[in-house]
Amino acid sequence: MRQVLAGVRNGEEPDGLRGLVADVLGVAAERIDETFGPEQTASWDSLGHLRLVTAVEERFRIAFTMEEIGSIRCYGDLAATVRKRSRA
Amino acid sequence: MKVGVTNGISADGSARPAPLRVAYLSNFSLAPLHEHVSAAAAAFGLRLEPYVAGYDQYMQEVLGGGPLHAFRPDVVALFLALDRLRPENMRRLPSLSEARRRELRSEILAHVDGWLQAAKARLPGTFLVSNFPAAPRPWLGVADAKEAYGEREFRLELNLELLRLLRDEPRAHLFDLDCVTARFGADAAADSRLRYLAKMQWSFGFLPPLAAELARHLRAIAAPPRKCLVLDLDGTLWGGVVGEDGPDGIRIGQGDPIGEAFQDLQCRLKAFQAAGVLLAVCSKNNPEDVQEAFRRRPEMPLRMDDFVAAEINWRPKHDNLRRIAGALNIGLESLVFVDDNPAEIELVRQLLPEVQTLLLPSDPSAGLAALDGLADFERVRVLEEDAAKTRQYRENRAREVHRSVVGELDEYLKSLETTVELDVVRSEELPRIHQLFSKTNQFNLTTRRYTLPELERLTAEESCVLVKAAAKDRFGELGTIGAYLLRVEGEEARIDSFLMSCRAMGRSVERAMMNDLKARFLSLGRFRSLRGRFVPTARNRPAEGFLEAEGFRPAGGEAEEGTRGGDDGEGRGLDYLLAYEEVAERPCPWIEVVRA
Repeated sequence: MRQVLAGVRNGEEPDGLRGLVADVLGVAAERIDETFGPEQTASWDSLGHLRLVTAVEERFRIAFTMEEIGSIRCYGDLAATVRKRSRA
Repeated sequence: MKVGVTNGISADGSARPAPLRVAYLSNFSLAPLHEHVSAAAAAFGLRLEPYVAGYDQYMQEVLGGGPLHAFRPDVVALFLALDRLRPENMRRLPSLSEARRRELRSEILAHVDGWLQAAKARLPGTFLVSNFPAAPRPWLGVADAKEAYGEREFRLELNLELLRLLRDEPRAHLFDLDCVTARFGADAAADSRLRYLAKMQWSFGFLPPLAAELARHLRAIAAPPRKCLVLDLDGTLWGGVVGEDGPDGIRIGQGDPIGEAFQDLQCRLKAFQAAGVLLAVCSKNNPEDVQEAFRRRPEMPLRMDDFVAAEINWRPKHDNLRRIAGALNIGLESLVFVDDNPAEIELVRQLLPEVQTLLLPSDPSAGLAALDGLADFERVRVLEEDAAKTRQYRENRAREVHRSVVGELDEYLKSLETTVELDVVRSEELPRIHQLFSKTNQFNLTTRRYTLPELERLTAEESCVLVKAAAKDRFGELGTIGAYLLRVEGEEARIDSFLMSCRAMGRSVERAMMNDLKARFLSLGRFRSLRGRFVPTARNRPAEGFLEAEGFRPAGGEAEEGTRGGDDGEGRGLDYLLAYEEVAERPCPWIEVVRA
């Protein structure tokens, strides 16, 4: 049975997601808003993208499908996908 | 020509050496493996400069003269995934005929061999070739084992033949990806999403353990192994305390889980010895108790005479480690100290940072895994000489005792009945000579750390003569103990390298070698002079003054000023000259010389 994370509710930002993304991509957390994406930092390239989703999977103990990995295009997408997966 | 220090590690820590240049080639996406390897290698003090070839460019980059060639790799690692190498065939493996499957195996092997031969002909350095992980789930399932040349058999034979192919290649080594994958777990090592999305073969989680194993190989290729494993006794070789529990009370041997674990631990240590590692004891105990324990407990795989040195007393362990290094005539950076007491380990760590330490877990069942974690003794091959190391040191000890009986030095040297055999190095002897070049610190005039490929190239040049010295005496064989490299350059000949193992020090073998060098120099023809050089390091004091003693004069002079800045990365050296007319052998009555 997957543990339901307290901070992950509809419309809320998953606990610690912003800090994790900032860590993995090496950017300041304040720079990260809903639309933050590959255009805003060179570290979010195709390899960085995979590192990012793998790190998020590990932290939230979830697994994305290939489709989901391919459809995440910005921080807002990522947060929404984590919310969706954590509820499942 | 740029030769000299190419290893990413320094033996004496005196100079910051060039990083080890490692190229990664593959037919899938390797990124970011190289970052993990560099981090893992840093833990061994090995600095890497990586080069990652373009996706699936492993053949083109070797054949073309592009960036890989400009990179001048020290090590080239090759990873090939079968399902990308022969996608059509591998996808339809069960539907291929048995004959076709056998043919496919030969084709793949020929492809790898073809790559290796092409790479060897075009690139310097050493090649690390990965094998192929076992199929976690053969397509025929359970029935695969009954199939003639099924998927298991196909992969087993492919790996077996690759192992045999690489075993006889001096410049290429196997990387056992199959084993690393199995140890980590094949399921966890793969991430099929990354495979489809990014042409990656491995999960991110598999990269650190894979990198750790690669770094171990790089260490074996580029850095000299440590020489001696110094062991505590109570709680390390057996359970209990011999001084309190008595020789019969300590736990070692069958019938007791704790005793069985310690017995296995001792067997593992004995295996290190067979691979050329010296064993020594450093323990706070009464020596009589310990002698008694080894005598009364035949269950112990290790015996007292397996140890080339033993400091069993109540002195601090860092003092004893110094004594052990001194007795064996090796540096502290050649020692690994194993103890189950965290306080002793911490003390040694702080006071003797050169010594590698290993804290054994308090549960002896975890001891084997802890020992296996040591990479300090890794070497690419074990030579016959390595296996005989303990015997040689034991004989050296007998010589020491003999010396104290005989007294006068002259008489002593004579009584040793040393014979030195000098001969031009043959190509099959190069691995041992290379080992001497990489390990000899003390009696070494220039400390040039040639790689094996560099030595191969030098010996092929007509202007170079590489000679080895082997010695024996009344106590036994000392083996190959020295070498010199003489190079002709215009009107001069130059002593590029001159080195002798510390095992042969103090008996004038170096003079016999120099006499041979002089004779060979004279036989080469008429020259202006013979040039020598002494490059001081933190460790080679024993070689200081040697050239003067053999008749050389400091080159001095306005033009040379005695020292030259190293243009080959070797630092400052002192140049010496000996005019052709003045070349003469010096008396060396204690040694019988045999020239082949």
